Amino acid sequence: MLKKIKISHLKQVISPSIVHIHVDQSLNAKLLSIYIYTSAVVSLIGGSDRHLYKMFRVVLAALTIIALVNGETCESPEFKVVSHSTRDARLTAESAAQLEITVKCKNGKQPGTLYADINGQVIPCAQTPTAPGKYFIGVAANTHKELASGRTKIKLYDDDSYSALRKARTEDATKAVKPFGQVELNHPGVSYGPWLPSEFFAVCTFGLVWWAAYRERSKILG
Amino acid sequence: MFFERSVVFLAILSVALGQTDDEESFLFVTKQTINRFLVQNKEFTIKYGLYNSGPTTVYNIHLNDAHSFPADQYELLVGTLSAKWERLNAGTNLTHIVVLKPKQSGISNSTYAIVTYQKSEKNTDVQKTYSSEFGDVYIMTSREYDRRFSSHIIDWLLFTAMASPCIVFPFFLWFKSKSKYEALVTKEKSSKKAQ
Repeated sequence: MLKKIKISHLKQVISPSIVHIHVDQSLNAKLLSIYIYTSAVVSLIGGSDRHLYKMFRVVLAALTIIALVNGETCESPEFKVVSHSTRDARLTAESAAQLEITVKCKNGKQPGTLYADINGQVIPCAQTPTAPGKYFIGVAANTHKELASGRTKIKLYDDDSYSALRKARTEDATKAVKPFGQVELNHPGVSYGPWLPSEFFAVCTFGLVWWAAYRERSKILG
Repeated sequence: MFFERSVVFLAILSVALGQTDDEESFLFVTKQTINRFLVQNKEFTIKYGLYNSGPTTVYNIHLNDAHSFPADQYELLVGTLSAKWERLNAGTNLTHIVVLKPKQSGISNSTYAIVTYQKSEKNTDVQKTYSSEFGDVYIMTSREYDRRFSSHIIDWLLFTAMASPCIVFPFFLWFKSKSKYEALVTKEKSSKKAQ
């Protein structure tokens, strides 16, 4: 049997929980918030009636599972990265690198905006109207040494994880935010040209020939 | 009395209206090349820097530079000449890299890039700004660049091949006469010993 509870008491308890629900988030979060709301109502009303409570729980669990499966966010993304960086130090005065990322999601949806964490700064990735699935990240360094050679890991965030990152206030909270993915920037390093110029080898070879001839000549004359 | 009051009222009004400029951000765009030399058929890297100076975020940024580098004179290798970003927070800066390959040599003129953005998320008024430019540039031919910078191994090998007849031919003559003379000397010695 349902417990008899005053309507005003019910409103007092439920209204604070409603205030914290954000209406503009994804469908996933909306359904989850409805779940929390109704489970709060049910726990208050049907506390003593076990059958009703169980039925509600089953229905709500089914709803959340449906919400998770048909979510709007990109699940388990795969990244394909084309990385380019300056290689010739005599042709360029500074170093720069560019990453072109193509994202493939399991449920076929695109992430929207991606943000990349470069040297501690989280900046949005560029997109182009001509190629919708590609994201570009540019890294510039003032000197050739500043761009680290080898593989550098760059964390990517999508809209949800970026907003979580912005809300985090402490160092630990910032580290606890799970990034959307991670890509690698491969910079093989810059080359300043060959170590020994070809003139060096030419001088060595002709010097050896001259020295052999001079030795023979001094043997004949001496 | 009335005059003073109206002046004071006008002063307060102008200050109140003037306050709106402080709350808007302005986007600075620089366009530079990081190349020391521009060489035909070698990479030409351009760096666009976008700086948000000011206290607020700017939204919906579009950069368009396709008119500076027409497709018949430049080939696009990396990046894109028309890029868009969702937002740029206050005080942060962005870099966008484009790598092109010049197809022709000579003097080339490049103009500024056009960047449009919205100052606030709700207000869809688009603000247009222009980037800096680096003007006329001289694209040298790949021969000129190689003359200075390539490793000249092939040149030296060719030189050795051309100089070797001058050296090898007299050496061969000398070696032939030397070996004949030495054979004669040993023959004389062995005949003397036998005697």
